[in-house]
Amino acid sequence: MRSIAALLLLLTAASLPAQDTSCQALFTRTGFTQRTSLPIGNCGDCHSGSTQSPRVAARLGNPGGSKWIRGDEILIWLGETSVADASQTPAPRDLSAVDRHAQAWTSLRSTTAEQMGVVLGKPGQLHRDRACLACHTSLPVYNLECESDGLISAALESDVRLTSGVSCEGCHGTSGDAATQGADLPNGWGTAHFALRNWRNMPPDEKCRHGYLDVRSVASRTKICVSCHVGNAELGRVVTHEMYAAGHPPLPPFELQTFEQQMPKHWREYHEKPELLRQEFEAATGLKPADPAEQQARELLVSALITWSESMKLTADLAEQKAPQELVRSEWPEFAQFDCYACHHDLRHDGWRQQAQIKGHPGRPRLIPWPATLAELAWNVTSSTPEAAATPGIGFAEVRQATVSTPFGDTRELIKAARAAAASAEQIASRLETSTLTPQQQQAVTAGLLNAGTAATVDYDSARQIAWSWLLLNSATADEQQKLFPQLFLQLHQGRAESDPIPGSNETVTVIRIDPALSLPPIAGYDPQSFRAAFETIRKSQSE
Amino acid sequence: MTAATAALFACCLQAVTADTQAQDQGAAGASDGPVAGPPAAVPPIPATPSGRLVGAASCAAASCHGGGRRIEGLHFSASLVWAGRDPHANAWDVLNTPRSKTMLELLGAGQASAPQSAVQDARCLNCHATVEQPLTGTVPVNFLHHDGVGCEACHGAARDWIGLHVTSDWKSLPATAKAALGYVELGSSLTERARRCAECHVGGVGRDVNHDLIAAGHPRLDYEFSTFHTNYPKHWQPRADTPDKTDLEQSPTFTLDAWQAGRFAAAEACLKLLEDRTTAGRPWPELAEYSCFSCHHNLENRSWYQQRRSNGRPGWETWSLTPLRNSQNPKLLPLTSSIETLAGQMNQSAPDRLLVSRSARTSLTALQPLLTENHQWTTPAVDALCLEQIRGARRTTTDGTTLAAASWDEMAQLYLALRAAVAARRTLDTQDTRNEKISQHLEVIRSQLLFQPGYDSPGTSSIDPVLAISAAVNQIELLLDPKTPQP
Repeated sequence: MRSIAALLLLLTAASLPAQDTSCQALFTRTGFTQRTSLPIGNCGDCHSGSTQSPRVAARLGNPGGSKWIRGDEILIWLGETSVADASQTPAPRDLSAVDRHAQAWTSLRSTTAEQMGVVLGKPGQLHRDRACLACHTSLPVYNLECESDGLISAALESDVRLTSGVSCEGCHGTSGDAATQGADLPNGWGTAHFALRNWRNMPPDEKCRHGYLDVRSVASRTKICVSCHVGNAELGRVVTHEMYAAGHPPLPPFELQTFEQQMPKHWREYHEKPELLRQEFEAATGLKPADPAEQQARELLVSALITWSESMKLTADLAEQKAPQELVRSEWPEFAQFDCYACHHDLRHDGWRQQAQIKGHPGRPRLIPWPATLAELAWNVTSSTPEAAATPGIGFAEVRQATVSTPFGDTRELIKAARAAAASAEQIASRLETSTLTPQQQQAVTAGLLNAGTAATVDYDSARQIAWSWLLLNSATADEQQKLFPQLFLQLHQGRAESDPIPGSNETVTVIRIDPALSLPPIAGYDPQSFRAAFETIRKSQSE
Repeated sequence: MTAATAALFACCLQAVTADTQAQDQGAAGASDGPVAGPPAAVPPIPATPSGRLVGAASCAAASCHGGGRRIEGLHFSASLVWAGRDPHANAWDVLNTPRSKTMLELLGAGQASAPQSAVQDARCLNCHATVEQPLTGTVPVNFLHHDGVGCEACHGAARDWIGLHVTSDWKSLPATAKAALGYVELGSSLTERARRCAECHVGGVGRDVNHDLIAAGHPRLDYEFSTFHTNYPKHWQPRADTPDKTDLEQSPTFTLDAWQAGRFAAAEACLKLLEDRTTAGRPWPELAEYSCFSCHHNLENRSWYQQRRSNGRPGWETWSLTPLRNSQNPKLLPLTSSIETLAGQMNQSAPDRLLVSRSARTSLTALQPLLTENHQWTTPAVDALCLEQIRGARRTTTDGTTLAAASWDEMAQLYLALRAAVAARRTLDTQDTRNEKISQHLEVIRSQLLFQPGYDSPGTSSIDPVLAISAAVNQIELLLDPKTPQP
């Protein structure tokens, strides 16, 4: 208890600057430090059972259960089935159905982490290292008290807000607000979202004032995901090459909707919500649901543009050494920002890399290529609009040029080009989010994917992005996916079973961990020819 | 990198062929008659666009080096051996291969002023043709370039000395006078010979096989003089050219003499090249300075490998400096310590050009006195050298008994050093039964160092080859360590 109190104190002791309440400012270090993290148990009061619980129903102000949300979100996140009463034994967990975010913290005590700790000179201590905790928990880690060795104090080690990994607050925002606790109008969304009767239909900007992150907006959602899945220097969320070299698995390329489909779904899609409540929502907000196909294509483009923008921001921040040094141990050139497989491949006679004969600047590693792949598609689809035509583009050529003038690029030019690219792409994305794709533009998305898939030489990560997007837009089944692109699906779910201690108890739980021994060989053995052949087949069947 | 590199590696790792002597005998005939010298005064050849170069054809007359006469100590068939058996004669030709064309396209894309052909590109010609001084930019076509690496590339531009060279006066001319005319004496010093090779086989000003070139398709360079010399098709006959009238190549420890001369000459060229690479406008950091295989390996789950370097930065460990960095000889300390300073600077994430340039210069200064050293090897001295190289190669390994932290380059260099040493040992002490055993262990090491067919890199995720090499090295150490009780 003392540790929790200490944590609360720590998180609130920081002097609170004047609050910038905009949604933009929320997802920043300042935005986060204005808030207090609450333990997941608070959420569990309502979100770990069903909406039939009288208490939940009372809080939701709907005796029959609203069905706007599910009510068993935490159970889904943990991969547990709900039972009517505590005496019953829960059914065995389907390990592949566990939300991996729930294992984020315990993975810092895995065999991989143990080995990484040895290499990084912090054996057995990575679960106390803020550089790791920044992504492996939901806590804003900046103000956590550190001991002399830079690790967070041992007293915090078993705090549930750390041990619950990436939990509710990780994506929905830090929920407490000590400054206004006890006041009539609760400021933190942890209270506000059930205390304020109009919460559900409140505009996102207003919710942001309570610290609630906008997960309805695809742009905002993408930013939240890629803050870890790509990285965010300001928030201290950076996988450095030093970490990779020590054994961190490669971050896979990110595609929002594909990743969302992989996640055990703890939410109801809009069309799954009760009609009555939808009508109420539409009346209150003036919003209308979009055509599902149009929305899917548009979200693909918006999230691609935001991912490109965020990755450029990260590159610029790291090149400019703007990441907080106490959190991010990175020096420029930070190899982790460059194409892993530009260097990391065995040297083969007449291998596909040599046959590809990519013109210009051999021997100069490029930046990670995949964020540009779908962003380029998005740009091609939208650049014909007058608004887009007025922008200077989203910087592919400029960024490329800045990275080839010398190995790892001309730092100053790169910063300039990456910042311009980030700003421009974000601007186009936010405009695109509130517009509607024309049927021609929707067709252009499909055609663009076909073109990208049949391009001369596509790197592994970009190939995955193109394939994922294609499968997404064509609602392909798992079997079809496997048949079309056998190389591209890494079967991460098969992984390696490990036993994790349940934080705060003596029990362990079996989890599935990514096993690099399974997931890395397909990357090494990737052959762009067969990827291209798959898309040629698709193209042929389309034209028939 | 392709088959060409594989050939290079294979060449480097080839077991020493037993008999490499008198390779020009095939072309040699017999003639006892005196050499009919041309008139003493030959008018100087007028200046040409090639400066003082006269071309390989000028040496290849039947009565000069292109004939079959055989006189002890003279090299009448040198041109024939060179043209027929020496790959240097084909150096220019390879610039016309599809690979070279592709390289040029890759390197020059988007640059309007770039040379359109490798035979016009100074970067290529400076090593693939005979040039007096390194050229720059686009070079006009010159038929003399067709010689490839001809006589004058190693022996010096001949316009000013070829006239005297064919007279009977030549022999009595003092070495300083010959040198003043531009003649490069290669018979009297292994160091001079090794330096000449290193100008291209390691590189230097205007001769830079950098990472751009390698990425475009050029094989990497890995020069080791003793091995190269052994495998070289010799166009000369044994001759006592040294000041004390002994034949360098008749030394019982020749392979080790060559290894020793080669490691200093290679280091000199390597440091000069590094200094040149720090020049503003050159690619920097120059990736060819770093160990190829610290980056170039498939990503695999190999924990032993991940522990080799804790900071995820490639190691600056150029092939050429490894035999010196492995040394613990106190006489080398000024050099080795300045090289380690340089290593510290090169291992920074963004190495400072100026600091590196200064340290390279300091290292070169420390190297100079060592270049002229003569080494008289005794069996204990050879053994001490082997032990020093073995223990030096383990210096980065925490457990002290395996080479798990050593790179392929370091292990290959260790193999080459031990191979040169055991060859010397065989002549120094023919009765020692350990020589045979060491050779057997060396064969194990060699077989483990070879790349898989189709590969230009180690291409394995297993630690087994490293352990096998480590075990063989441990056995050699045990055989050579004076503390080991001998039966």
